[in-house]
Amino acid sequence: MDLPRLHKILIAAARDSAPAETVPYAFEQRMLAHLRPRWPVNPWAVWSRGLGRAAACSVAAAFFLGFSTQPGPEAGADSFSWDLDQAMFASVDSFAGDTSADLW
Amino acid sequence: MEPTDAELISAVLQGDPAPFEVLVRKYSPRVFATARRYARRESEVEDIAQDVWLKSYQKLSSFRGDAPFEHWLMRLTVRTCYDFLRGHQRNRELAFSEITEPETDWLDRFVTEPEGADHHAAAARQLVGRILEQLSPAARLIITLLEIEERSVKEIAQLTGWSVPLVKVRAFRARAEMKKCLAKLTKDKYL
Repeated sequence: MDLPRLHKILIAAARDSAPAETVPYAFEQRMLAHLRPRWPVNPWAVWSRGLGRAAACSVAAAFFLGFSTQPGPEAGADSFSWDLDQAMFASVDSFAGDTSADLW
Repeated sequence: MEPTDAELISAVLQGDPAPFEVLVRKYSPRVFATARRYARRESEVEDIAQDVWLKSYQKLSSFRGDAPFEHWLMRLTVRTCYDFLRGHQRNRELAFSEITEPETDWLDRFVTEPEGADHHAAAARQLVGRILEQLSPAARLIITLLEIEERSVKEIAQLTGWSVPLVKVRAFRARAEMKKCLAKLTKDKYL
């Protein structure tokens, strides 16, 4: 048998059948899912994300507290602030009241 | 305007992995076509491609940018395919008794009329695939690159990382191995 010729023909047959370049469906997505755990963590990105969330929470809390400490519709703004002043300065007032009598 | 490979790689190296998807989408067809030369089952082909992309991501910092990214990736692909062949070489057993009827018919036609043998026949393609599977990993790689893909010795040396003299020695041995394989096939069948 002519082996060199057989070799030549078989190699020509292999050259003729170039393999397909098709990529299986969603291979890129599967590949990236595989790579995702290896992706580097950017500490600045994590920090800024956390900072943004914290800022949003702080603004929400400030609004909530601001609205919750507003006086009811029946009470006037003056009476509330007056009550607050009274409560804050009660001890000072009483001390001032006691000493004023002694002084004067 | 689409970003160049160098820009994509630089973005990935700076910590933004998203552009790597663009590279995967762009070069996967070449990677799959190369892997299909060495693995028959589609699951094996996909494993090779996955391995290539994992390695390329891990070794991306070693890409110097002197040559196109595609060349660097193809070197990685060929070396991964070679590793695959070496890992699966125990599976290759001489099994010429398993050749199919169309392959036998094609061989019979070749024996009776060598001048009229058709290399376009599907049976010839199957037969050459079967013979390549019998070769050692190095021989198969060399025959594929040198004779089927018609690459130069210098190109093969770059792709495989072997020296030029080593490629020549391995090419000589690969041809001898293939000749031996063909001789065994014909001896088993016709003597």
